[in-house]
Amino acid sequence: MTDSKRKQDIINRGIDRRSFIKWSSLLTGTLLGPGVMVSCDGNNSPTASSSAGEKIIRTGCPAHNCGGKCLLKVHVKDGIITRIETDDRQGDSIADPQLRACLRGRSYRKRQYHPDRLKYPLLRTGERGEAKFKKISWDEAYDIMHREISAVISRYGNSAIHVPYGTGSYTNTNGRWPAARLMNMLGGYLGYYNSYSWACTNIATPTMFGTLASGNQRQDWMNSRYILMWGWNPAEMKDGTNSDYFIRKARENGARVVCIDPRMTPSAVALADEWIAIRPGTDVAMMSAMAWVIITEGLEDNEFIQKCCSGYDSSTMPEGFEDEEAYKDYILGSSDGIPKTPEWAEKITAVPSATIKRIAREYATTSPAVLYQGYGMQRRAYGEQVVRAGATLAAITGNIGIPGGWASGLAGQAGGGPFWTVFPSGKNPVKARIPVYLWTEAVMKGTEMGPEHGIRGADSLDNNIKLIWSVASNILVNQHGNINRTVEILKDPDLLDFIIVQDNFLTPSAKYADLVLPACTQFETWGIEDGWKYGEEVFLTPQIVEPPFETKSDYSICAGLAERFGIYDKFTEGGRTEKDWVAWFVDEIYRKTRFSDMPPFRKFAASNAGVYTKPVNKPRVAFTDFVKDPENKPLNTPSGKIEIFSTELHNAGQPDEVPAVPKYIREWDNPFDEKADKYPLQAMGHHYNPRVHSTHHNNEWTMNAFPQRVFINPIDARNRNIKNGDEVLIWNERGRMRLKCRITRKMMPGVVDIPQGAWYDPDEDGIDRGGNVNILTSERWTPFARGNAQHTIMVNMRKA
Amino acid sequence: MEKYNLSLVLFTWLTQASVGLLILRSIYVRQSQNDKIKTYITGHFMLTSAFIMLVAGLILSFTHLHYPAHAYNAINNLGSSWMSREIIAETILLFTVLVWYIVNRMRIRQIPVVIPETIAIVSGIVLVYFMIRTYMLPSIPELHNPSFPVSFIITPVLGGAAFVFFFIRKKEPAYAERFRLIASIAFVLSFINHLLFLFLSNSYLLDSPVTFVYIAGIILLIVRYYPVLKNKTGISDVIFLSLAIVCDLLFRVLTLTFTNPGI
Amino acid sequence: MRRYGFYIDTAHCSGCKTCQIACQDKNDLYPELIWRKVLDIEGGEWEEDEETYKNYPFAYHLSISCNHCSEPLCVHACPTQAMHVTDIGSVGIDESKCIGCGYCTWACPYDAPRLNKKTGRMSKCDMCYDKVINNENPICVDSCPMRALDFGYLDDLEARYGDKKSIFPLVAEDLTGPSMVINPHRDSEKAGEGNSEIANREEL
Repeated sequence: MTDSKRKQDIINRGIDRRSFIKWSSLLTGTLLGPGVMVSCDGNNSPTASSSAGEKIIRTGCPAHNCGGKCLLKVHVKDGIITRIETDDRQGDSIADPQLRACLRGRSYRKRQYHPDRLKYPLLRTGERGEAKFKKISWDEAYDIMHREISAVISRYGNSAIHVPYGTGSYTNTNGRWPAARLMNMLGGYLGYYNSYSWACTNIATPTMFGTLASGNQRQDWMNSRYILMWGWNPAEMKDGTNSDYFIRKARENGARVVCIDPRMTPSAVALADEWIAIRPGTDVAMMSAMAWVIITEGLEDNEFIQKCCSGYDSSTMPEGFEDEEAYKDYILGSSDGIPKTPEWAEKITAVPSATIKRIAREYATTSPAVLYQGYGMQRRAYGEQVVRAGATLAAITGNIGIPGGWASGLAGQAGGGPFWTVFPSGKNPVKARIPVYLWTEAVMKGTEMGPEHGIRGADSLDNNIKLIWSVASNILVNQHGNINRTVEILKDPDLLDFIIVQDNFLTPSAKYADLVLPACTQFETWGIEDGWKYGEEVFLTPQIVEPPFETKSDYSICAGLAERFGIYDKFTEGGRTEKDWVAWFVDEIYRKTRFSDMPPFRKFAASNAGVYTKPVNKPRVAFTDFVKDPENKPLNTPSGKIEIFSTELHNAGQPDEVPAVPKYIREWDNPFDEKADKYPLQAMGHHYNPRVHSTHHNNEWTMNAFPQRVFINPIDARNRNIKNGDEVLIWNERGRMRLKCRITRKMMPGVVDIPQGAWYDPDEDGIDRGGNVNILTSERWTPFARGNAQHTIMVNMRKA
Repeated sequence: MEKYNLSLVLFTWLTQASVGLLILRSIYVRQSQNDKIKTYITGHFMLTSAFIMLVAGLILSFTHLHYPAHAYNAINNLGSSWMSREIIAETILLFTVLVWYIVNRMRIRQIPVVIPETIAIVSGIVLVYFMIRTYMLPSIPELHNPSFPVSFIITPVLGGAAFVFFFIRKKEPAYAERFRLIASIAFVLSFINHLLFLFLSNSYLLDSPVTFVYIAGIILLIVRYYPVLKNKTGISDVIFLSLAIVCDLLFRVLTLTFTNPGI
Repeated sequence: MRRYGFYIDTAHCSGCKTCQIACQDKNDLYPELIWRKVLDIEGGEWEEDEETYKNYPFAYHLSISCNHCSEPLCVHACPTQAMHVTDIGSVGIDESKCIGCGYCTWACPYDAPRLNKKTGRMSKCDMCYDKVINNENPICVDSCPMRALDFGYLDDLEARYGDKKSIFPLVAEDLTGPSMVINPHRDSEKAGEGNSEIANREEL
């Protein structure tokens, strides 16, 4: 193949007449299934395709940052996916379990063949947000992108460009990484740190342990005797494929499992021996009261504390801080006069004091024990505290560094976990980085931002953000707090010169773009990804079907733009296709680092295995070395020990909001203040089964199985004369929504649940009819991590 | 999943009322004191009406099939399906009523009318029995209680007597009173049966909006039999008996609206 | 003939409906046409006790499809013989006979037969006949992320998992002889008494 031909192939892949015809027939058909799909050939059989001519390809599930990564067995006939099955490897052991896909993976055909797939590049013709576009060619699209990006670079500099956070697609050649690589080669862009998922734990965990790898391999749960699933719902949001199954197995192995959550989650129902309902945002109060019980009843592990912990009491305070308030002082109330007793916590948490005492005793005396922290409770006001408070309980009970124990915190896999990203996006010449949640601030007043806004890499920003190139991301509108505010910012042409959105669908974010680029799905190009947070596996995701219409892979889109900028060869490393890159990742990265036993790319791809797994027979336990020999194997913290008292936090100089020891701090929106008269209900937005964040919201199979509803406790419904299935109006000072309700005893009274990720769909009065919780959430960030506190909201509700 | 179908409600009610009308018609033509021609004409009208009701019911029952092209298969399972048997009985009834109608209309003396008449009445009674068996499903406790078969027996009496009354109230007012009485008693039984149904399904009296319609009917009934108005068969009877029919129909809607308990 | 049957572990079912979707995908069912469905059962009450709650309600999930009963009322009831027992003992529908009268759904206490609005014929779980004759499990069984479903000869399943075949809200098993075994959720005992209900009827 000649170079220019090859180049055309990389850039123009996807514009294929055959698949075009197939797709036209598909979209004009009734989408019944494969029988109808081929009906243009005159074959009207309503039954599923026969096995003749059918290929079965094993691949990683597109997943979309769901919290897991599973194996799919995709049936393809005549270039169309006809069925999706899952891992059927023999054995299914704890060491190497089957990676079974959930309903989201199994239903993927309804997303893949959705009639609303973006098909052509679109240029805005109306106002931003009006969703009026005209079809343009890729040539025009590249010209416009080239022009706009060049203009912003020359007018403001590279730091005025932002490629935001987004996890709608990332199999390394897909998602934002190629765009980041291209921008880095063009002089950089304003980067970010942290994530929307776990900003607080990401920052708070290292203040405790000096690392994020505070988790054991999950097979170690089989050694546990007691597991507290605190705000953790693996059965629904996964948090590692098989985490739910492992908990089941641990329980069958004799562990008692208790779930603490405002909502009786699927995990509470299917995995736990007991469920305790706790008022959202008050977890630290219960944790503190548990500590009070543990301390006053002498159940703490003093030997471990003396050896491994810093700041528990006056005798373990770090040098120079002896006079500061130690954790024990706070718990016993010797500093603030309030002993953190179960009776004190009962009024805050709505958990009976007797229950708090019992759970404290159970956790402290049933060793080894796991306290697993979910991430929802750290996406709240002062979310840093709950991470540290949970880890502190693990520390004072000596559950760290031992098999069957659990240190809490972010719990990245000890001894090395998945890479997340291997695509070389390169070094960013723009050094300044913003906390991910503050991108709207950087649009409005970036030049006024400094260290107090968590700017890293520079003292301040040179520019406001002027151009956004959003790839596989819905944070521009849908997933960011306070939609009504965000859309005003996006609409303002004085703030943002240009917005580019690259996605599979015209998402609520894409509706605010000036230029919309149609990306193909992960089934339509090559990619690779390892297990999510846990697991010893790597998935190969080959191209299974052709990209339809004029869609292209994210990599191919960037390669085309690189050509316009004259750096095609540099960007593609001399013409690498997506498949070439994947081969390089396997042979040059995975085989040389994590998995030397992994077959070389050629063999791996030819085997159609879809996944390489390494059985975990001896699960690694975090902090084993440190606990055995803290003197010689210290942690990467200032004291070298587990910092219950964090000198780093102390030095932050905000003792009320960023205390050095974990404290219960009443949230800024809470059910206790006067404001609660106006907005008496706490609202939460949990990760809902039918979606991955906002992905799959248009999936008819999953959304029919789990329609978007506001979930209301019968008591709250009765008080408002609301009947099951009624439309209700939910509002606060930031926005209003109208949504059908489901009355369920699974919600605790005083709390409503509006599952996050539904697509924003305002009516003419600005009332959201799509059920997007972010119409109610706030843009306010947490004090230390500058993380999103989207779950801290109060609302009112009435029958619509 | 809720299972309820208006076409089936009307089908059962019309068919049963038609069977009742056929039976009571036979009693009427034999006991009428009117002159024979007039009785014959009235009787033939009744026969025609019964036939129309049967046909209407049948057409309605067809509308609930989602694949009527295969309808001929519906008698495949006489060995175990009460519905197949019901359809056979329905077919025989319809056919013999048609023969009866032709014999009666054409005055074909070679075939004694009493032959199709007897076959029709017997198949009608058998049909009502088959209907009861068809709907009394063990999987649906709502239908598996005594009030349900009782309602299938009351309807022929109530509907049949009311229709006979409508036909003869002007021609033979004194004789019509007897049918009014039969219909009134059937109505009271229908009301009691409705209460029984509510009781058996653990519902409160006022849970059912039909209760109010019944009460209105009962009031009319009391007014009707109040001494002052006695012995007059007028428009108030038509209103009262029409309301009685509406009550019975609504009750049928109620009994045939049920939820599968298992799911 | 040995009967096949399903094992349904309600103690560990998380109600995720992967089984339902896997079935829809294999059989190309439109979104509202559901052969294997998952019930959310809720019971008990929230009892307020000043600042806290004395009592919590309970909940569990039940994945249920056609149970291919030994006394299939649907087969007895079907006027056309479209509903029939197949050579492997499953209950199947012969579309060439079905008139779409819906009477089988009345007869079935598990609400298994569903009208396919696109064909006008009744439809339901066929036990993945094509898979079972090839010694494979039905698609739903191997889809379960919690491994809460199993399939095999009913006598084997009963030997392994016990012989419970009915929990709230299912009818007593002697009505139809369902070919299944249930591992009861710890709270299913409580559900028989009082105000328990199916909380997700709109999803069924």
